[in-house]
Amino acid sequence: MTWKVKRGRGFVPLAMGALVGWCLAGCAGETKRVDLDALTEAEVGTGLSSQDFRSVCERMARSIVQLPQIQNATTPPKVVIAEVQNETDDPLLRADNFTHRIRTRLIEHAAGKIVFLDRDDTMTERVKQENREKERGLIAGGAPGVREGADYFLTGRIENMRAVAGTGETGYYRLSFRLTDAVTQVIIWEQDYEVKKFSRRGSIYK
Amino acid sequence: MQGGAAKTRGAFATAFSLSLILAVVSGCGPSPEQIRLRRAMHEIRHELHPDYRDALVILESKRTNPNDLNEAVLYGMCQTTVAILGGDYTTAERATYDSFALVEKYENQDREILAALGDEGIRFFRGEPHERAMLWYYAGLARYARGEYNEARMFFSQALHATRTRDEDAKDFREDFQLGYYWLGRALLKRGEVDDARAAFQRAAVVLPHSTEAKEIEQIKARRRREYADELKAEKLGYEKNSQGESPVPGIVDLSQEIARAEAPATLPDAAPQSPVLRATADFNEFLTTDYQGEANLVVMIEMGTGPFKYAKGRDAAFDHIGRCPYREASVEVYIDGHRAGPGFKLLDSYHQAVTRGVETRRARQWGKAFVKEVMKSVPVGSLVAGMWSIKADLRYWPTLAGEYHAFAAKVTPGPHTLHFRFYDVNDKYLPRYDLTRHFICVPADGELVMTVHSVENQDNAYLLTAARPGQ
Repeated sequence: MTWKVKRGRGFVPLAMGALVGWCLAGCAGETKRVDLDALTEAEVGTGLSSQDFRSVCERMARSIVQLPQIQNATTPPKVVIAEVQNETDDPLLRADNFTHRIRTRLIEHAAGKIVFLDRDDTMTERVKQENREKERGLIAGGAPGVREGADYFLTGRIENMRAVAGTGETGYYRLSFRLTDAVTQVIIWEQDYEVKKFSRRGSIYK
Repeated sequence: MQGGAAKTRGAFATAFSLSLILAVVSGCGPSPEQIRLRRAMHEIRHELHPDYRDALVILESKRTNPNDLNEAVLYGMCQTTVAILGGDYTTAERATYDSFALVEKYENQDREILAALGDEGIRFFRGEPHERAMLWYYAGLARYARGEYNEARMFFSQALHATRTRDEDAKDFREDFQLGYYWLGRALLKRGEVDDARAAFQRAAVVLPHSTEAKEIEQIKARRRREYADELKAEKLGYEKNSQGESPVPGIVDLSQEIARAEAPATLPDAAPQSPVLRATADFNEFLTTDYQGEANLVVMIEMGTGPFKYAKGRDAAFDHIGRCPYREASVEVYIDGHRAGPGFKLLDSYHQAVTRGVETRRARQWGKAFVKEVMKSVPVGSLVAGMWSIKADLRYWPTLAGEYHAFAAKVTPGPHTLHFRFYDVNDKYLPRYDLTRHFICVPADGELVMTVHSVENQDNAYLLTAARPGQ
């Protein structure tokens, strides 16, 4: 690789400047939020961000609390959280975190119009243990009663699609949540949230 | 005077040599840790008696060391190979998950910019697209083997996504990851998504050769013809020498016969009276049907050879190129309890994957740096700067990746079986030293058995010799 180059005072700084400029402009990478929401934060990649997480939970909680079945109920409906299906290709996504956040928001702001039953496996086992010890008289407390049954199940499904084109990639996420009647299995409420993002990774990586 | 000077020089040379030897012996050579790491990262796939546990320990310590964060994914890749080959799928799951999280979430833009401007080896190692795809494939395989089909589906999808190169010069190869589609199909089938599984299997059937592949295969075939003739001669000579004389080698077998694949026996000498194979196929199209895959209760991934490597080219090592590692194995026949059950179907050639991910973006960057450096060398002050400016390409690669991945699937009677693998070279000539036997492979009555084996020269032979000479 031998090149004959005419020596010139301005050429080398110019070439160096061009290289630095090219690298800074094209190699450092760029990620931006597009389409469905305004660009509000710098995000890495096309996955869901903390902002998406907060937005979707807030929106779902507000929607649930306005339901006539909740607002007009004489006794607060009892809700159990069921597993959220992660149908994305993202193994890092913890889908159940969404429903837990929705529960927190509802408990905080629904003023007791809705109650949640804790069906967490660990908690269920602890409650059983507690009741056994109460029955044996090992610990004080009222006689164990019958556990409450659910009126509704809160669950959801998260899907995504990704595509690569040219130097960038797009990621589309759809998060849908629903309340299902525990007796009739009628879906009394469902709402979804969509996110689409475009990302361009720096040219230093393929 | 001259004699005195020569004596002095001689004494100096002796002292220098002695001190050099002393320095090497006392600690200037590679440390035990470096030797262990070298074995774990480069040799484990080819060892007859690999120490998987030690390799996992040293790679775990490197992968989780914050000082080695830049290469954490590389260590994760090597640890995954060791764990899969050693059958430790739990460790494989952990290593692949941590590596996935790092690749997806970790960014160091300062290093990215510095690497773009100079030495590319300083960037955080994410691996090339084919390497990431293989890491996610192993991640999926480990979860699939545990029955976590949804997680397996996610990782196989990630593997497919990783191979979709963004370089336009290789856009035709974005969907050619047959191995990923095959396993995605199996995961979908397990989830009851038969239509999606069918679509995945159809894509797994598409073979897209690269532009120079036919020529490369012809060259490999010609080279193998020569090598095979030499190998047979050496076998004959070795047999004649070691089967006669005062102390013949016990258990020695004559391996100098040329055997073509067409002459492969239907049964082996120690075959069971009844064939345990209920359904098997030699037809690739039938193999990739949902019906066949749904029935198969024994799935074996057979890994052969060594994956591609990277080497430097050009002045200042500014360009990285991908080379194919030579190896003998090219195809395999599987025998179950001594009965021929069918071939393994090639689903991946690692070298093909590596060279079809595109070089457009990388070459533009590397040419740009090389050009500017050459220009700088031509001016007095610039040459000083150029001398200190490293523009080396990134030559790190996954050294324990296999060269080829073949899949075998069949429906067999539940219970313990003996699996025997006979390997052939690219000219369909039998490679007797690569025979591989696995005893007590228990196929469950419900569900399936998934296992991975890899070819190593003299694996069965080593056992034979040990058995023939008890106490030694």
